[in-house]
Amino acid sequence: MKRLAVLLLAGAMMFGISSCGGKSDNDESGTEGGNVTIEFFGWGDPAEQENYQTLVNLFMEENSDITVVYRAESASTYMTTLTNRANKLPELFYMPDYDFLQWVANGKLKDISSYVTEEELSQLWPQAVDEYYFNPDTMTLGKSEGAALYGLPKDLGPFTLVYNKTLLDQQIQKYNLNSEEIYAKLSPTDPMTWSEFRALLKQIDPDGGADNIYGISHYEIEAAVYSNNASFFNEDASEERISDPRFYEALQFIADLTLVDNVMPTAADQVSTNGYQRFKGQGCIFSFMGPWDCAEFWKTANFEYDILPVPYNGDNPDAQSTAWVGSMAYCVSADANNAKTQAALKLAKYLCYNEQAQRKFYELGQQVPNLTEMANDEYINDTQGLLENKNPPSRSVWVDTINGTSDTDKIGGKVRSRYYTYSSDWFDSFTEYLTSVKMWDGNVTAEKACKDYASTFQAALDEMRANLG
Amino acid sequence: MIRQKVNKLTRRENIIAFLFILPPIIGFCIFTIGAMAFSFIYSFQKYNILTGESTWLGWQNYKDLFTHILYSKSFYTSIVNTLVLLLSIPLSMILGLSLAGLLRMGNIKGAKVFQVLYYLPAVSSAVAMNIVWRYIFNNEFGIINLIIGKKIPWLSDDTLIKVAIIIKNSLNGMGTAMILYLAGMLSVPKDYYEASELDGAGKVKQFFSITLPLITPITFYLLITGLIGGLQSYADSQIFGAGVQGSQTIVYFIWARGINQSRYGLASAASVLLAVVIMIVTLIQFKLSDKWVYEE
Amino acid sequence: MENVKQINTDAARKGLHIASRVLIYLVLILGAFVLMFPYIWMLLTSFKDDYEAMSLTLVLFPKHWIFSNYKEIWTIVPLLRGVGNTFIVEVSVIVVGTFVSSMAAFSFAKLKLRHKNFWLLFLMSGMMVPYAALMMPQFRAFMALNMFDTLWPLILPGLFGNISMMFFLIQYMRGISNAFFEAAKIDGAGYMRMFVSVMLPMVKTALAAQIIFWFIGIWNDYFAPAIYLKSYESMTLQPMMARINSDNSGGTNLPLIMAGAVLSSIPMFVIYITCQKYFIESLAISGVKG
Repeated sequence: MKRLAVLLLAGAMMFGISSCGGKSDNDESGTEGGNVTIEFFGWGDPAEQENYQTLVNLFMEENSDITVVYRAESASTYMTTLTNRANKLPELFYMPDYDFLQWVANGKLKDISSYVTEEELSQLWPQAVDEYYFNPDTMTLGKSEGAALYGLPKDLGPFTLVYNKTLLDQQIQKYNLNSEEIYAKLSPTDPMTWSEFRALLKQIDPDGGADNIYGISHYEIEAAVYSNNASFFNEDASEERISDPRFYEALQFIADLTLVDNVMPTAADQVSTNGYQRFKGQGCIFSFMGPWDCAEFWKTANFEYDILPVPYNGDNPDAQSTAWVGSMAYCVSADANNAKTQAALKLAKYLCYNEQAQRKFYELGQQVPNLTEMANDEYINDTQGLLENKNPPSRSVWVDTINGTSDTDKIGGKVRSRYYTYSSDWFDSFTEYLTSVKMWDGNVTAEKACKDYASTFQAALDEMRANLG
Repeated sequence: MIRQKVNKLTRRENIIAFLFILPPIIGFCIFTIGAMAFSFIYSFQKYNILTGESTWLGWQNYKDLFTHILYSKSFYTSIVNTLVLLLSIPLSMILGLSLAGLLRMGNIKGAKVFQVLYYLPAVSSAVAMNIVWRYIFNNEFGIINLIIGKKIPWLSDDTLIKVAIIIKNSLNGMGTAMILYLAGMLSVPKDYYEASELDGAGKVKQFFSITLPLITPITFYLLITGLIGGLQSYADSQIFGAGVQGSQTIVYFIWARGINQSRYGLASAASVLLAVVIMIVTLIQFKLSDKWVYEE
Repeated sequence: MENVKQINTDAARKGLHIASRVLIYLVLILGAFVLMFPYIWMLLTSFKDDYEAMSLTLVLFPKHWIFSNYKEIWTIVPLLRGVGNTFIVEVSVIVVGTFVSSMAAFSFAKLKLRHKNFWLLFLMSGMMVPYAALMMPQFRAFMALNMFDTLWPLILPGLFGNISMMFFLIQYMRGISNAFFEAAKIDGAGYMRMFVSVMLPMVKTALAAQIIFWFIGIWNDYFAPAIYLKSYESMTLQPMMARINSDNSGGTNLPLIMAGAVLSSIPMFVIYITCQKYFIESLAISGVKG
């Protein structure tokens, strides 16, 4: 028995030692002879990784004193790996908007305010830059008094409506519809109202998907909620707003596309074939699309398509077409020393606002340029001739969604709601709840589901805030 | 004198015998007991992986598993799912036993070919198999639904996805059971059968009166390994179920909360409970096995 | 009269016998077809194009056989590397682990060991502990030892043996007569020699079977590799396959994924068919002996 006790202790000790050791190696390694080696960690499919490697190589040619080790992983596992490397972070890494708060609040990100100038930042979309300001004293997001900058925006990704033109023409012919009338509704500058959109969907999919072609693949919750001037919670994410009639009205609008109009697959079918898959497989006419989808669509889609601003609730005088705009930042590890921080930021700046790099990115179908000037003219009008015959032709919709159309006040975009909270648990458990009470299947109304869940939702928000101390 | 010598020899054998079993014991102490102890400690802590700080919570994590607004529901679901999915173990054992019996009784030519074919799923890449089965069961373009001509929501309905997993696992597991049962049947002395044949017993009767009791150690082995494997099922939720609620098992819950969301405390509490349950089940099985496992 | 009756029942029995044999064949063939179908489907799909694979009408055979998926998959993931990494784990773990496990099994089955039952129960209690309960501390420890994204977390635990293999071998070894070992003892053989030259040859078939099971176990192991291995340089085959699947998120590029599945299964098939022959033969021999 004694031997057993000793062995137990030895085993335990080994674990103790191993879990304590190896934490303190933030030395000056990698800076010998003026040369700096930094690790840059990102995500993406193999094609995207190749593109990044190309740009990183170009960067190293221009900066022979910096060696960049680029590593990347699948988007689905990226955050797990990064989190588990929290005590040995790479110098430069991606930080998606919805995880930014947790990371910056825990002091893992470097304050880079002193490394960038206002002039440099002024070339970029201000909405993108502002997202990565944070005030550690008040624990508040956004540009404000006392806030510092913790990341440079990688991109802004508006997720807007897209339609399969080839399939639409086919349906128009099949059902003897008036082509002109229908295309008149598909305006890149004049968004449809919900009722107009529903009428259109019924017109082009009168058989309720019986021919396995649905009007629309799925509907983005935030696209509906935002376009009804509603939201999940108030400005600082402290009070729920899901029991607001405008909110559940938006959910009911989505549910009714399946339940009343029969133009959208059931929730079950959306799970087995997601919207992206269905759109690519020509199983629907409408779906949603972001700029990053171009790379894959250019390679594989054998049909014509174009984008549109998302529909809005015409019965709500305060509503305008508002899509969600995703974003990601290049962030520097808080543990990086000065030399490495400088090297990492040099690379981040290169990727973020170098003209060549930005041109390459849009040419490869990865993003809307970060540089406002480039986006507003070169990108929309293809003055360099890099996007000839490339879909979608109405790229201005993305730019308008990012920037908002101040003159007509019709199109706009908003940050994903998960950006405002410490973690996404509240969102996951809310959508899980809607699934479990079969709200999408019509077992309960959106109103009842939201009202029933409101107190739990509030408790979840409180918990999110409690994490911030 | 002789007694002393015998004692000395016995002591020598004791020491050597212990040295022979030492490596597994060391490994066990480090990778199982040591790790288990830390799981136990973690289960009372809240660990902030970003800052590396641990705070002592007491029983809070255990309470959260059953009452927390955000996690308790998925924890309950994962328990039910795991238990339901265990149904594939007896099913695959019955299928495997019947197949082995058919092969043995029918004195089938080409029995080897069947063995090779039936065992194939067990040797195939679990990931690849799950990907293919997922495609076969796809709600819309899966071949099963295309043949039936109905859109049965196998992959998204909380009940049907479990049915699909049970079907898939029973089929995939029956080859293993068949091979082991066949091996057991082949090792049953022939004269037992000859003797009973003289008594006029038919093959079916022989199967139940001789074969079945003699292969109980294999049943026992299959049951234990099946149960232990089943309680730890993960790839079915992750790859076949793609994380759908109806397919989430306990281990998926632990992975999702622990590794994926870095909630070590909560996940550790769940893993400690899982370990306790598996221990109890196994102990009960061992106790019962004394009564019905045939041993020479 | 007696004789006629006898003949009649014999004939009846024979007729039933043929009918039942046909039935048995039918059942076995049907079962085999059901089991083989995923492989056939995997293979057929790998030659289709995206749209055919997701077609909503039943398309059994590709209209145009496309082979480019098999070319493309190599450019997307380093499959060869995955196979190589898997074999590194397989060989190191199985060689060391099998020796360790069978030695311990021999000790438990045949040697005089004080507190034998305690130690056996002690080790066997490990079979009850789910990996999930060990995963997080192990993960943190390997992380701290800088072994994340290396093969070490998969190799190290295996070097100390495999309890279920040991358990199986103990049961098997107990069935072997003690007389062999008494005889060896009288001849003055040491315990190691008794183990290596008397016991091991006698449990060869059981050992081979166990090694094959273990080999398969490591080959199919997905959970731990998926947790530890994140870069293609270190990945074994399973997480690599899962990554092809998740990278083509939403399950698009199905034919490409199927091509990967086919390729990743080929080495296993080759090993399986080669070893299976030996495996079944050795089982048959032990059956004849019994």
